Amino acid sequence: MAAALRIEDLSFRYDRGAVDAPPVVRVGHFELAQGEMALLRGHSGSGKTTLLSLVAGLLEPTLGRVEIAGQELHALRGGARDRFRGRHLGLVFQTFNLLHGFSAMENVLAGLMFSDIPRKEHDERARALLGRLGIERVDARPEALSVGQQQRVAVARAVAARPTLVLADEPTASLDPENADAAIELIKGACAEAGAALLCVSHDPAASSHFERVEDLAALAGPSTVGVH
Amino acid sequence: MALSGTRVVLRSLMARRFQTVTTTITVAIAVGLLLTILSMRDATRQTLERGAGNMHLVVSAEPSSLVSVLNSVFHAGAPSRAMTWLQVQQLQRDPRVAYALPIQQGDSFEDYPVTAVEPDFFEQFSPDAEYDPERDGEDGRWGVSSGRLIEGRFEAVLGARVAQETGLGVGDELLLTCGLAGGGFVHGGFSYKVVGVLELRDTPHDRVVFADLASGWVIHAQDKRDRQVGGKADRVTEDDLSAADRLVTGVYVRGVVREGRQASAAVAELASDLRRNPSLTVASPASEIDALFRFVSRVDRLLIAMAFVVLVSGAVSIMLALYSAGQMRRREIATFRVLGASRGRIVLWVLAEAVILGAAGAVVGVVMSVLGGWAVSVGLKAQLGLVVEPAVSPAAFGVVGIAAVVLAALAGVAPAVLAYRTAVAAHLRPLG
Repeated sequence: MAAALRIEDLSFRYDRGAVDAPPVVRVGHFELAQGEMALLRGHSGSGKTTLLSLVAGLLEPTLGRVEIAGQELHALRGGARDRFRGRHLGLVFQTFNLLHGFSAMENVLAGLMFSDIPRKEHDERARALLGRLGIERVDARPEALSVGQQQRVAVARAVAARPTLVLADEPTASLDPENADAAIELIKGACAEAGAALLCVSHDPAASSHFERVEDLAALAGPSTVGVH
Repeated sequence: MALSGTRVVLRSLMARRFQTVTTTITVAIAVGLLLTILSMRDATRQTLERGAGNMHLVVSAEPSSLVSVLNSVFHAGAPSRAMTWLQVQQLQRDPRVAYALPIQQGDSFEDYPVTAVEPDFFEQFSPDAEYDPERDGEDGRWGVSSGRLIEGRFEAVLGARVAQETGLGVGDELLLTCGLAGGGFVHGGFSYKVVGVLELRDTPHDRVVFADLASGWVIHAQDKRDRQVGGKADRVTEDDLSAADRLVTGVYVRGVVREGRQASAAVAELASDLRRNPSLTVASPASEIDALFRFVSRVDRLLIAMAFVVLVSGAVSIMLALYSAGQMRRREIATFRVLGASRGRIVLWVLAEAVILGAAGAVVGVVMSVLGGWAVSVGLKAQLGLVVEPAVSPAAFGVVGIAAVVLAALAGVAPAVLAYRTAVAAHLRPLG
């Protein structure tokens, strides 16, 4: 079975012409098995977020390749990559990026909108997910929900399409330690239930205790780190 | 229910209710203005052309041709000068004249103008311009929907709208008032019996009470005698009428059109001869309507140009509304992109928003044009006495509606390009 995520010799510079400048992101080899969960640590400005953007296909790598479920992501162009993202990737953002003006239910339905899941199942699946994550007011707008509830909606949206891989970017950054622990467990639980692999990036040392596999972004860079895992 | 693109677009519009409503109103005003101008222009012209019916000329003693047509044919005001019966008889004897129908105006009933006519008026004059009394006979003649036409003294027939609006019908009695505005002197002592209601022909004549001409002379002669004696004079009868009492305010004239001859040439010759008499004003309703519309069309073109400017400004306001919304919604657009929406789909959503705004504006504009047409119609009736039923032209609605939607769609292009170019990673802090 293909890995959920496979990164090979990936490097990224914002200015492609500046070949002498060190890349913002550099990963020799990284692999995440189906359903596996890992934490990627790194200090602020180390390129964690840029790496997630590359893995999500939102940025073009300067060199190297990213494979999701065996599909080389950056070989896909335009709408094909967008469709692939909608079916195989879920994202949890630090600030949730919920759609304001849309209800909690509609936010989760938005996560299903571009998936392979038949449309007639969307409503039931979204309602069930929100129910499991403890959101009762499914018709409430995000601004009417607490921060914790908003995060649950964001997690429900990320796993709604049964993605291969969920990317979580600093999911605990705006939470106190107690809620941060609960948030990570929530994301892990939802991913496990959806059968999705999870790549979580965080600069929070406390987040490490929740993951069996913890990687340092700096250690992934360079020839010596190729095949680190 | 699954989330659809339509729902996303409507949610987006609803999230900016104020902007959506104001933009829609801007488009609606332009569409409404354009349609009102177009429909009223067409309706006014049709009404005026129908009003002239099958007559070729109006002869009167009015000071100008246009005033003569407006007063004699469209009942816009009370005529100020009269013609003698001798002049009418001379016209009727002219071999080039198919009919010369005398009319007397200046009285009213409950603000409806009264036109006094001879009984044979309805056998000759028809609101149908194509009707030729000699050729067509009773086919296409202006008939009654109830009762009969005038046959004797102190009889009246009601125009269809008069009957509808007053509820009067056959057998009712009327007292006429001197002057067209309310509050005039009532011709007491002489009442008219309603003997019929005319068929509706959608002309200014539908709002007219037609009364017997000789009876009108008797009423006015009685008033004159009463004023002369400073009280109640002996009752006047038709036999007491002098030549000075037998006055008319206008004559509807139709020229004889012989086979193989052009009506315009024959009538032009007749009109030319009649104009040699300086006391007469000879007017061709068709020419006067043309002249009036040539004059009005200058204002008309200006108004249409203004309406187009408003329509374009409506499109610009759509563009600004969507563009500023696009700036604010970049995070939302980026989120949808992350969820799997392609650039093309985002562009379609933005264009759909623009089209919905344009279409909504067009629909509200149509409603506004109907209300505007009604308001202009009321104004024309009150100010000029012209009865114009706003004509709704489906073609005009179609063209203006489509123009509004197309302009709106074009206005959506720039915001759509902005949405297309939204850099996803940069607008998803902390992913950026």
